[in-house]
Amino acid sequence: MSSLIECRGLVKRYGRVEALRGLNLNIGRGALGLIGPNAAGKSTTLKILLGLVRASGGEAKVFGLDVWRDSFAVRKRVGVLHEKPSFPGWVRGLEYVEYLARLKGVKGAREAALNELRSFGLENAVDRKIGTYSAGMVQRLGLAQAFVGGSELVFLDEPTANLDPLGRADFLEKIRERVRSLGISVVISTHILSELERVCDSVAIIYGGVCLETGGLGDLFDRYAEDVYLVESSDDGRLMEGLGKLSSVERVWVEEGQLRVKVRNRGGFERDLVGVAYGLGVGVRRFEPVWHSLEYVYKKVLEVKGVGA
Amino acid sequence: MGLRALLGWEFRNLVRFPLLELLVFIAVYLSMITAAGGTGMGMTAQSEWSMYPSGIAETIMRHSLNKVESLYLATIFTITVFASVGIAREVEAGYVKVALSAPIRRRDLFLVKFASCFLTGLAIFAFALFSAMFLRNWPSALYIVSYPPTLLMFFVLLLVQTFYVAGVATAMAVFSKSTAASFIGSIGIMYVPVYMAQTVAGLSIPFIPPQSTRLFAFYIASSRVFWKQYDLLTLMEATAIPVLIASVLLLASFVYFTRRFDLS
Repeated sequence: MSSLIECRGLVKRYGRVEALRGLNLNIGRGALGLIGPNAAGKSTTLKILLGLVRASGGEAKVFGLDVWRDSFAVRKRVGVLHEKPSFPGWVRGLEYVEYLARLKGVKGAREAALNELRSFGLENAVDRKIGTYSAGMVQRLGLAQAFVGGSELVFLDEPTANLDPLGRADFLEKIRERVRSLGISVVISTHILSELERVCDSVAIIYGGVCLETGGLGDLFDRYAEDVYLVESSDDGRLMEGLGKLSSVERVWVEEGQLRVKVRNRGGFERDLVGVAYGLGVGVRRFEPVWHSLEYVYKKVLEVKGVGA
Repeated sequence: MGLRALLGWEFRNLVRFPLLELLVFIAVYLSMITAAGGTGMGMTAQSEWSMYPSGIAETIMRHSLNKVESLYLATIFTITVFASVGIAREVEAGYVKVALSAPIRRRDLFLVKFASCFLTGLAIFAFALFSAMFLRNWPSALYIVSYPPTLLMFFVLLLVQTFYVAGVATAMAVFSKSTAASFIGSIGIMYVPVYMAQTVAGLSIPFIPPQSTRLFAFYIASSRVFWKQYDLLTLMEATAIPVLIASVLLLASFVYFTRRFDLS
């Protein structure tokens, strides 16, 4: 399968500052989350992929096309919502999205623009000047213009900024629906990792201008999440002592008033726990594996790669 | 389809300054009314066209030419505002980043930005000038515009002057990426040499508008008298050098915009 986005040894220097230091990235279709700390190089990567910034070195391709040389062809098939988007305030919302649809060569640009504006909840504001929009409405307009014209790939930089909680949930649902039913691919750059978990199939972790890790969410959980159990008993102190002696257990500790056990072998531990509890005469009230979040995986990747959380 | 949408968009954006356009109109009108009082500066030669009927027509001609400097100031103000707001301000505000994320070629955006500054400036300026003439004395004005050499003179005069101003202003806006720097820099580049030429005794720079355009207008209006005072080289300087300066600046800014212009 050919990659949707391919970056090889991508370098970008702004004067003496090196924003990207040989970034390698290989992304297929679907929903990808781009995560990393501030100044990691996420936005620079997006700008290079859009042909807004020219790479100082390396190679980047979208749809197999060079992002600088064939930038026009790439942008015909791509939509984007920039971080803190700004649109001309003297223009009406509908006019603006219609104009972008025309640039993409959409037939029936007005209808397409109206549909997208409706889809993102701006049906009552299409004839209002953008300058009169609230921050949340500007964000919705940005989403509408990113998707108008049947974009095959959409870059979204902090897409839920300024959206209210219901708006966020609605937006995430729409993205998931479009990815699954329309086959649109999205690249989402955000710091809100819980949102990525709800939408994305895969994640790329960027740090210091390089890609530390990339892969499917399930794959990353398998590789980085630890086998930790939460145990609630009638006597945590005694149980902690007993579990600490088991070969299937690596570590036992108390976190937020609850007993946690990191195990070496799941099956072995589950058998051992019952035996130990029975032997000590301790009642086990609750016993379940700890669900790891993407945030946990992200921190773990930084830790494993030696760049610190 | 895309280029047409882009052109329409840019022109619509630039004609959203009705107050500015009205001010230019009033400035040109007032400058012509004042000039009719008889203290025009610059050319003193009689136009060959004074042999034609209507002395008023000749007066309009002469005084409008004598006010080249006022007209030049109106031109640089208008077009510099257009370039600063239409290019530098849009870069600062992030509109250019959004525009270039859409399927727009950089070369198209540059050319459309320049063309919209140049053509809108030219149209507003020509409209103001001709309207002022008509308001002042419409029968004479009608006579002037119906006489092709007169039209040609006005057209070339405006064309050279507007191209020079639009070229410098566009290049400054692209290089500076800052509204204030673009506005002040363009006016500085276009007006300081003129000011120096006026204040430093003996310094003559006929190749910088408005002196150059005044010389050129003189040539078109009164070619026989012109050749008695000047030579071909002076005329070439008057027309070719401003066009050359603007062309070089435009080309440099075009190359920069299409190859090196980072939108961070």
